[in-house]
Amino acid sequence: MITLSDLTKVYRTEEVETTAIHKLNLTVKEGEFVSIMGTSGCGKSTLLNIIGLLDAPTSGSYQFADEEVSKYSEKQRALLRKANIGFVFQNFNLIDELSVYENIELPLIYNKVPSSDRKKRVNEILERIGIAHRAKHFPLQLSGGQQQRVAVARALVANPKLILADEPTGNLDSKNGNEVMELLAELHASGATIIMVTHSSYDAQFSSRIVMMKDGEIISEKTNTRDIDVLVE
Amino acid sequence: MLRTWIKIFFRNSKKNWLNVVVNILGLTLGFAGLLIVLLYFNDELSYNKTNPDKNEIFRVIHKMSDGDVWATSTNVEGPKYKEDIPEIKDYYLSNSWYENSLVKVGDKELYTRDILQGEPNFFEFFSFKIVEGNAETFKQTRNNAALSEKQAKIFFGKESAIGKSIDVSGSIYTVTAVYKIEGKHYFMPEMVIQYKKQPLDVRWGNFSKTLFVKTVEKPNLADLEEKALAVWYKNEVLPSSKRDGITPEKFMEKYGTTPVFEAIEDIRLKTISDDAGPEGSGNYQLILIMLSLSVLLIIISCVNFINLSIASATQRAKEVGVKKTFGLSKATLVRQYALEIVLQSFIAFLLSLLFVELLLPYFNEFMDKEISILEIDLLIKVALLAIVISLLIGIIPALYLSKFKSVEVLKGNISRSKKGVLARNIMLGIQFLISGFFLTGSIIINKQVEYMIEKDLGFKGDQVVMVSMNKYKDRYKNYLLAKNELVKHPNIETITSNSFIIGGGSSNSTNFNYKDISVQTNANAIDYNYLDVMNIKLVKGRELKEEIASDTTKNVLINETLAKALHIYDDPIGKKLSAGFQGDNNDGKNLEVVGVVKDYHITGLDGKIPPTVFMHWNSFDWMKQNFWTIQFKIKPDNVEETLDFIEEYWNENIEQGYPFNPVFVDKRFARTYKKYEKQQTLFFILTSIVIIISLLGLFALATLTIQQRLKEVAIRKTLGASVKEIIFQLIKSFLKITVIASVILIPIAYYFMQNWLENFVYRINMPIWPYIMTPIILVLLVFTVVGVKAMNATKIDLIKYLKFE
Repeated sequence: MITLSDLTKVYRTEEVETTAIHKLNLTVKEGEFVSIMGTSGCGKSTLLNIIGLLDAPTSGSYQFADEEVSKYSEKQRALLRKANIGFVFQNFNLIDELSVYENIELPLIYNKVPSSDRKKRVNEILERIGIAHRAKHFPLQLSGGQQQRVAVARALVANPKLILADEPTGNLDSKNGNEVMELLAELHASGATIIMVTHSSYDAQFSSRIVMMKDGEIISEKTNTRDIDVLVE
Repeated sequence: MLRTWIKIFFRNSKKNWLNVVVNILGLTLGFAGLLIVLLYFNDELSYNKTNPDKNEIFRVIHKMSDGDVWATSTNVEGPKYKEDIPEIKDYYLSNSWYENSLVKVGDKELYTRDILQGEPNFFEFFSFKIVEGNAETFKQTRNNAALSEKQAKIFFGKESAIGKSIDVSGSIYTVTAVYKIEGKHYFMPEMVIQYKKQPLDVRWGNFSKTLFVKTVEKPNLADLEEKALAVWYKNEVLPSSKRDGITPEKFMEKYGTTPVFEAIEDIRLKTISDDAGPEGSGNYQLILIMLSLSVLLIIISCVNFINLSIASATQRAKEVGVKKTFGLSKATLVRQYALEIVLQSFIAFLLSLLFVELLLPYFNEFMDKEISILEIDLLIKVALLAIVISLLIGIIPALYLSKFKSVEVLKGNISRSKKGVLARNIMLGIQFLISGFFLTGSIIINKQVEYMIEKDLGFKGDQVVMVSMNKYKDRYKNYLLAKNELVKHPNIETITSNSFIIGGGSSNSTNFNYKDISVQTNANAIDYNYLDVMNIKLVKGRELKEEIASDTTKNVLINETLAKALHIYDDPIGKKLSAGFQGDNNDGKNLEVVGVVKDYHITGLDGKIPPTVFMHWNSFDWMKQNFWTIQFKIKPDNVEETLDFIEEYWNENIEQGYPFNPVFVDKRFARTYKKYEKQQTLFFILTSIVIIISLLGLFALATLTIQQRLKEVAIRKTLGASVKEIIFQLIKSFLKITVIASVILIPIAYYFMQNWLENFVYRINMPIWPYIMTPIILVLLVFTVVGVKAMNATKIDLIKYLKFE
């Protein structure tokens, strides 16, 4: 589904040039759950942003679903992004002024889904993540774990091909964090493709493959053999 | 520490230069507006302030039974008041207006302006500083004159003026005092002369002079007016009602006159008559409106300032966080930010001084004033006000900034405060409301002025030149002389005259009666060809003709208004009218109507066309006193040459030494629009200022709210919102405010503009489309200002806002 070859990202300011990613090669197949790990500043977030089409690479090739997207304009990236990618952030990034329901509805609005259809799909997803009773609440009235579940619901609602999670448990305590990880594992089990950046090797255990990065390059990759019985609950 | 503060201020200003410029500009406009209005107000208020007896001097004006208020007085009432009312110690009677005249000084003849003629005791009412001679000698004989310092210099140069003789149109006076006018007064003449004898016209119906009375200290006004009315009752109402054979009550009702005492200090701004003396009147209402407007402007610019300061402060949250971590106290922080803002508003104040100084010459010309910025008292007050204002507007953002919790700020979490959002929106709404009001008003005023300029006035004056007569003697004789001679010039078509001044009005009015209907009527003495020359149409009957003898004795024309008022419009010809005056060769009792003149405008369009009667000059010989101008109809080619020719003849044969001021009749009439054209300009300027300030406010608020919503923008964008959707999202709330303001605007603007239009007797109907245009313009402006800001917002670095904040 995703093929990166010789991908490079260089940040330039007036004085300094920083190479965030250096000639990186990575392939992610459909239905995979990949964790990207590494120390701060190793380039993992940059990589995630490029994969998420929030940012463009400086050079190299990026194929998304057999399409070369590295030279896409911002507008093209935005179109591709809203139809194909769901995001989960460390700090949830919910809009405080909108209710849970409205937050989840947003991607559907931007994807021009008709309103009757929207209602059905939002309610479905609210049920699925077990937060239906909170639909009318505002983000600040929810616990961190609940907020992150809303964020996951929002990432899912438009049925994206790919879910990107940037340290999804970073702002949560271990209990809430676990809940969110279980939710992601469950999604993976039901066929979703997920790429996650994390510091936590515990969280990484939930994924099917772990990629270690350092100084903008992949230094090791390992396939996870551990079987997690996520369907038990 | 102060150095660090200032350093931080300047570095920040460099980074946020647009915000700082907008901040300072808004405040500068606010201060400048306030300063100009205050200077103007101060100047208007200063009239008669320095008169030491200002609390005891009153002008006597008269309320007539028909509701009119006449600022003029009779000759007789002053002496009677003094006699009968113990609280009235003295009176001063003078002409109502200055005269301009040729004055012979030695062998020179000098045309002199602003001569006031009155009773001898002028200086007891207007105690100007006497620089030479003295006021006591001045009043000893009626042959004495007093000169202003300036006039004395013109007449006599460096020589002393005292004891010198001058000849003012045939009357010899001796200069016994030279005065200097300090401050502003009701009368500010260049020369004061006296009536050669006490005015003797003892009729109680002849209102032609200005009367001041001086009372005891702290008089009871109501009591005084009652006593003055009693004087009228005894001397006028009782005898006249007896003569007319009606009851005194009936007489009061029909012709009653109620004297009113106006404190001299109030005349300029608050007189209830339409005349505040030769120095002109101030527009109190206008001042109050401008004052409240400028206060509103300054409040608005302060709010804008605060909004923008908070917006840029948010960007500096980190600095606060760091400083707090280092242990700076809240008080120190507040002081630093307050200092920055005080610095900005101080710059704004200085700029506004510069601005006002540059603007004042234009303002003075526009308002016909001589205001200087060097009103130290006022400047100090405004400077203090500026300091107070800047402290106020400094403290709010400073408190807001210093309230940031250091930990949260360092982590990058600044929550958006909902408090004050409503208040801010209301302030913005008010700004839109004011802008909308001025916009609508401007459009309507433009329309009315356009209408006035294009209206058919009932006469054609573009080829007719009006030349004023200055000398009193032999005006009619001179007219006939000029008429016979000048008409020989090939470019002069005809020459004519009448006693009205188109654009200026008439100087004579009396009652005209048909059976038992009595109408106050303006009398216009004309030459036979007058109506023809002016292209004034006749609707019934015939014009006055030279060959019909009775046309110079008893036949008259009336205008449509008079015909209607006398209820003879349907069959006017041959009706016999009686007039309130009589002539040498007729008793005024049997004036026969021979024609009806189509109504035409003689005053501006804010005045009604008066009921008018037209007669030949010779019908009432004394009308020749009212001979003000001669009209020449000239050919359109070589106008300059024709005028030069007339001037040459004029100076040689008619009026030597007087200024020759020809003016086209249509131009003269156009002066009546001047006041409204000025209002038009004023409204245009105010509209521009108000819109600029509102746009600054919009800019500030857009900056602030969009700043606070950047994270939301980033999230929406990540979720796939298009640029259009995001911009709409950001503009939405502003559009809502605009729409609400536009709706509220309608009744307010309608009320005020309807009121304004009612000033005019001849006016446009209230148009609807300005009320539609205004919201459209406002929405367009919102789209432009907020749109640009929102557009920038959509270009943000997504990653930065998704990660932090």
